[in-house]
Amino acid sequence: MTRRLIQVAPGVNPGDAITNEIRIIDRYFCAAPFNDLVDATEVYAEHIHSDLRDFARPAKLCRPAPGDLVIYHYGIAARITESVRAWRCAARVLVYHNITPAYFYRPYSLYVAGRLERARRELRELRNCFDLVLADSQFNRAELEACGFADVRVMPVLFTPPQFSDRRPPARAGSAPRMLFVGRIAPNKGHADLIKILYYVRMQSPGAKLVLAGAVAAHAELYLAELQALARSLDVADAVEFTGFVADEELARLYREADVFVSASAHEGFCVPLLEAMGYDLPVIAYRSAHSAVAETMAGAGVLFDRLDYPRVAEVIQSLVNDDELRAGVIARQRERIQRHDNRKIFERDLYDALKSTLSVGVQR
Amino acid sequence: MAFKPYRPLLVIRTLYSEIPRRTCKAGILLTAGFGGPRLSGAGSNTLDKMEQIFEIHATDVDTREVLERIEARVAQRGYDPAEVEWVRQLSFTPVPPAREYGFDPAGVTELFERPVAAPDFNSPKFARFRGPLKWVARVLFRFFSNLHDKLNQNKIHAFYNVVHELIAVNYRHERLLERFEHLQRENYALRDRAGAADLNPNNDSINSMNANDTLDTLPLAPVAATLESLNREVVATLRGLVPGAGVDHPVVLLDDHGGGLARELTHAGLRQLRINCVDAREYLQLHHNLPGVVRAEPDVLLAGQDDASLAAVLIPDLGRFSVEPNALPELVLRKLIPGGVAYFRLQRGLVGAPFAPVLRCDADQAALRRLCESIGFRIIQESRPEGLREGSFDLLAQKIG
Repeated sequence: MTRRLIQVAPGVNPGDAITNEIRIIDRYFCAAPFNDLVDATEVYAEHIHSDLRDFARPAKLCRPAPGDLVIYHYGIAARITESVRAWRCAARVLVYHNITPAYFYRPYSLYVAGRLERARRELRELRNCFDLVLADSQFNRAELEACGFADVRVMPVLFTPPQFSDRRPPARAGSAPRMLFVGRIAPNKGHADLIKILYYVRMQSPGAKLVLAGAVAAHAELYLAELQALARSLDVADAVEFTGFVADEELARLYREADVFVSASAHEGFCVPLLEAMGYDLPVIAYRSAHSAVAETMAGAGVLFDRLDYPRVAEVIQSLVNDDELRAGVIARQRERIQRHDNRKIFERDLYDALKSTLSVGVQR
Repeated sequence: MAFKPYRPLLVIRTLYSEIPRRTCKAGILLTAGFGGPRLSGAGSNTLDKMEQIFEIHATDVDTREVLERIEARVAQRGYDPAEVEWVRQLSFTPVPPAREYGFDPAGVTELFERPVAAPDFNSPKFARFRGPLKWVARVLFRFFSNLHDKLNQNKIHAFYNVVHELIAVNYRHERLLERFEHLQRENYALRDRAGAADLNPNNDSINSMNANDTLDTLPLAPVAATLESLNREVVATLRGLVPGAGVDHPVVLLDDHGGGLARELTHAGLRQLRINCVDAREYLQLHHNLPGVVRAEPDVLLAGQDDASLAAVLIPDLGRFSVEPNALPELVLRKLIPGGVAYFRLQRGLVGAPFAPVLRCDADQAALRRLCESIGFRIIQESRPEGLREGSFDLLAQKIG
């Protein structure tokens, strides 16, 4: 009997961390030595970006056979959740990527806020439906456990690290900082705080720039308008660049051209761009919110700040750009951190072996 | 940097200020504040605080020394604490996230998005659908269900946008009211300081406008005229029936939402007038609008009022009371002097308006009349105000005896 690995997600989009992880998992299961578990792989999603029609198929067409393995990537309410619960398959895996708290979206889109709130409610109902439950971080794991899930394992997000040749040359001392943040224009990402930080950075370095790379999240147009109004009112509009969605090559260029990666995100389940920036030898400074896994992802590298103290954060950014010793020291620690992230090891230990042992127990629903 | 950023009209707390922080560290720092002089004199204390904010991971670097240098630079800059606070609070968020929305977006998305279960074509009800016909029926159901979902997607988003806009407009409206109240208070403070001799609100254009225009149930023009004439009529009847009203015995207005009747009574020269409000904001506003003349009190159920002590009890918006309507006339009767007047009005919103007010208390005109008559009132007049929806009424009764 042919056994398929079916990955299901509410949506797939280019440049999205979850989509990239689905791709990596798919690739590993198709190649030796991990291709012994399944004979074929398929990806289904409820919302499919037009560029990814070849990669994923509409979720409503998904009909798993009793011998199939299903991996459900969960992050927002979707109709398919109901079906995933009902499917009869050999094993069901939940990969929890965290749900953005609805209050971030309330001022901008009640529709998205509603779906996020509903996702949290539905999460509780999913607690006994999966044979293996994986979370991106300890932070996500704690959330799942609070919802009644047991035996939650942590599997850090799989991502494609930059090649060594992609690493950027050292910054020019005395130059105006070029700050970069990569992430969707979404209300939880703290763009407003980055603009305020830029305001103080520009007091000392009038040529400083802030590049906000990322597509505008669905229904976040009001948020974008708010950011633009804020930039105008602080007189930094000309120094803030909203790039919109950028392809991989363009993103690599932005990383290479930046002097420092700054994140003020208030809520993150993992935050892949922090590690990407480390991969490009870009000093990373990030806000450690109590509602975020950022500190966990940084894992003893980069610079963390606990409070949105804009003038001081601006000064630290200046130091990261202009103080060669500090910069080199931070980058050295970041290199150690990035070396610890081994996709293959993570996949093998946290997914492949775990799935194998789940199947050996002979779970059949 | 030589520029003056403009300050927006509405400055509200930032999105993140709503999020609980790591309290121990942030809490200490919040009180420490910013600023050159304060920081320069603080020495190692401020450095400790820097260490509390920042965690620098760098190989072969003395991070304490780095933080010292940074702190020295911050002190040198001499940031203006007021300006730092202004930047911190600067936000253009359309509606604060912590606001009470009174709308359950999650429940509504569920209603919109959860698919309707397909009929059970195996049940005897569908016995006629057999073989390929059953299959065709299933396919047709699925097809129309998908088609319906697709066609409704934009409508659902439009619905959410409209609800969101209503919430945002309501929020802006409330903010404007708050600002207006603030201006009023400043106006009074200035007048007090200037020793203005005439504090009669009737001679003050701001006050006479406040009483009617700033409260959030501003009636539309035709109805305003109707209510105005009704109010005038009520006051005239009251003065005819109880000549000492508002002079020898106080008159109490229970929750004069809109302030129209209060204005008429003060115009008529009643000095012993009390307005008891349910809404704390409205209470404060009336307290400031009509000082000296009106005693605004939050006691809407007249608990602190002696029995048989009031010349009149006027209830211009019965629907705002969340009390048992049958109990209200009895309560009023007890507090009135013999010959005292009770006035009840129920407003069900404007004719033709898309929204009707939510009535906390509903009443039927005939039932109220019967109740009043049975407990010891004599009905003086009753009417159905023009311009208001069917079921709206007003009723004026006098205590017999």
